Parts: sequence; structure tokens; C-alpha cells
Amino acid sequence: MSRIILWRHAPTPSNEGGVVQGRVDTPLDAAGVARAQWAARRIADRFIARDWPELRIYSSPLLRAVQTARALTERLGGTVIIDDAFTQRSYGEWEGLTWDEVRRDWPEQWAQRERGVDPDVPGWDGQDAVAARVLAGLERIWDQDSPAVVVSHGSPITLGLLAAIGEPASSLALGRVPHAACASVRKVESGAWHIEAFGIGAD
Amino acid sequence: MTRVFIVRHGETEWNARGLLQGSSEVPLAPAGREQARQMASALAGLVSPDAVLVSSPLSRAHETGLALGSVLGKPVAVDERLRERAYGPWEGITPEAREQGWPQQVRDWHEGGNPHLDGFEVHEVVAARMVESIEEWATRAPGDLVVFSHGSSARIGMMGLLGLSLGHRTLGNLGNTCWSRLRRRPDGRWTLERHNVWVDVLYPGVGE
Repeated sequence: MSRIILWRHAPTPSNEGGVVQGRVDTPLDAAGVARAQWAARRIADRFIARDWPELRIYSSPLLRAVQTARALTERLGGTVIIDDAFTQRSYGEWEGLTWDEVRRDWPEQWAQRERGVDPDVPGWDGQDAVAARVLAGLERIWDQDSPAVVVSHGSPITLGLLAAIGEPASSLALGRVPHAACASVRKVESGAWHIEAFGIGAD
Repeated sequence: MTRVFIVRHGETEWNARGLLQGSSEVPLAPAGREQARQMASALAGLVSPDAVLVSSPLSRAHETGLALGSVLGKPVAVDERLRERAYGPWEGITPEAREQGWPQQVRDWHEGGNPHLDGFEVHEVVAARMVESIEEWATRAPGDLVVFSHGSSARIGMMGLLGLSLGHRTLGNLGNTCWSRLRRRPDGRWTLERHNVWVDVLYPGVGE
């Protein structure tokens, strides 16, 4: 039984400091790498069946994702396949601000985002486009005989899963997978996607 | 904001043999009691101190709930609406016998539909009673609510709470003593935060 594991990158110092990253290419520090290694061990032990064929490991091109993916290839072998379908959305002019600054200086746009709609922020990547590109990536890499791990980011994982189960990108039915945690999804015979697990590896 | 933990019962002998239980009364197997004990020690540290516990009347769920109740020193209320979906003639027979006797109905069921089968409780009915019960208990609970239920009714109940289409199996079934967590948003609707968490992923070393 195949599956795709969607793994959110380990936290960077910007994540810990509440800074919006988006396409800003922030690397993990030593603590982040250690979190990735811990999570890689849980994924290898609990999601990867011993009799599976060679595992394909995809990653967003951003450093924090690639470094997280490498924690798994160091354990299991193989190489990280960089795939733009799984990159983070652009947060436009919010990138580099702290979330506190966003709430203070962009209150209307913040409220829009809380309601599940795209905030009116210059340079923002719209959620329908993000959802469609992630789902297209999942459809392209799905193989019923070969499992895969995809290292991605908070918004693309949630938006891609919503698209996979036929929900609009504005739906608030799914939360965010925490940093270094994962979700597991597979495609069943009818062609429908099926969320097996979500937010695994966090309290 | 209320959180609801939805927990599936521990393993029974029928689970181990791949039989549908539905409304049938099947007790926990020894392995299921051990799973319940591990789940209880993990969840005791995750739920709020004022958590309310409620269970399906079927003993496999109620006994699983009592494992957490005894750690927390709390009673486990029983609500009839949290019982498992009734499967009619499919309860207690092997997957092969299901396939032989009702091939078309098994196909419909696997594709997420409602098979036409006497005594089979359809998705919409299961969703309605589960949602009504969980909403009612969640509204009354001062803190977290912990619900002990079953593979099919828990899944359908969550899909109902989240407003997901019941025509597809968008969420997978919970494993034995695995749980999900939902949070009620300020607008009164629900967000899925965890699905199918099992204890040894959270706490390395347990059960290995």
C-alpha cells in the first residue's frame, strides 16, 4: 500500500522568532537540524514499511526544506529530488515582518487571512494557485507501487490536501501541520485522495 | 475555544480477524486493554484538567474510556448516539463472505457510497447522530471533551463536524486507540488539527 508523506520542514530561527519567511531562504540552525533528525527517525520507523521499494524523497527548493529532507536521506540513503511544486507561497510585502507587526500594521489584511480568504497584500501568492500547483505535484508523483516523502511548508501542505479532498482553498476544515510533523495521504481505487493521518509528530 | 479528542477503542478479537463489529457487543482483547492503558497515560498529559469524558455504550469503547477515566479520576458518561454504525448482515462475517454474498454492495461501500443492505446504517444518519452528540457535549464541557467511539462512526462524525462531503472517504479510519483532535473556531465551526495520532509516534519508546 503506497502513500505520500507530506512533511513540514523543521523550524528555523525565523520561525522561532515569529518572522514571516515565505520565499525568504532561511536555513535551519543546529537546533532545527536536530529536530529534523529526530523527526526523520520517527518517519523512518513508523511510516516506512520494511518491504517498500526505494523511497522517493522530494523537497521544496528552499533550504529549510532541503536540509530537513537530507535528515531522511542520511538515514535511508537516496538523494533529494528538488521540485518547485512544493515550494512555499510568496507572502509578498509581509516577508521579513514579524507576525506581531503584521497584526499591528495590516489589521484588515490579517482579518481577511483569519477568515480564510487571500489578504490584499502586494506580491501575495493566491491560495487557489498554490492549492492547484501542489495537487498537480501530488498527482504527478503518485505511484501506487512506490511511496514518496515530500518536504514542504505549512500553507502548501494544507492547501494541497484541501484540493486533494475536493474542498475549496478558503476552507478552514484543516489546520496547519506543525513544524517537523507530517501528514500521510494516499489515492484510493476510485481516484479519490484519502487523508490517513495529519499533524503526526507533535503534541 | 473547545477542543475535542476523538479516540477509537482498543483492539478486539474481531478486529484482529478483520470482522466488522458494528452494533455487536465484542469485548476488548488483552492486547486492546494494553493499548488502552498506553493511550491513557499519553492522553492524561495532553487533555485539560477539567476534561469531560464520554463514550459509546459498547463495552470496547467504554472500557477504553475507563482506562483514561481511572488515570484522571473522572467518570465516563455514556451516550447512545456515539455507538458504531450498524452493518446489518455484515457483522461478524469474514471479508470473503461479504465479497461472495454482496459483491456489488461491497464495491459501493469501498467507493465511499451507501450499500443497499437491510440494517446498514447510512452515512447521513450516522453523521447526524454523532454531530448532534458531540456538539451537545462540547457546548457543555468547560474545557476539553474526550469522546470514545468506533472506526466508522468516529470517521463519519468528524467528517460531519468538519463539513466534508460524506460521499468520499476523505479521512481514513482511526487505528485502535488512535485519536484525532478538532478545535472549535470563533465562528463556531471546527478545524481538524490532528488525525490518527498513535501513542508511540508521540512518545518514542512506548510500545516498541
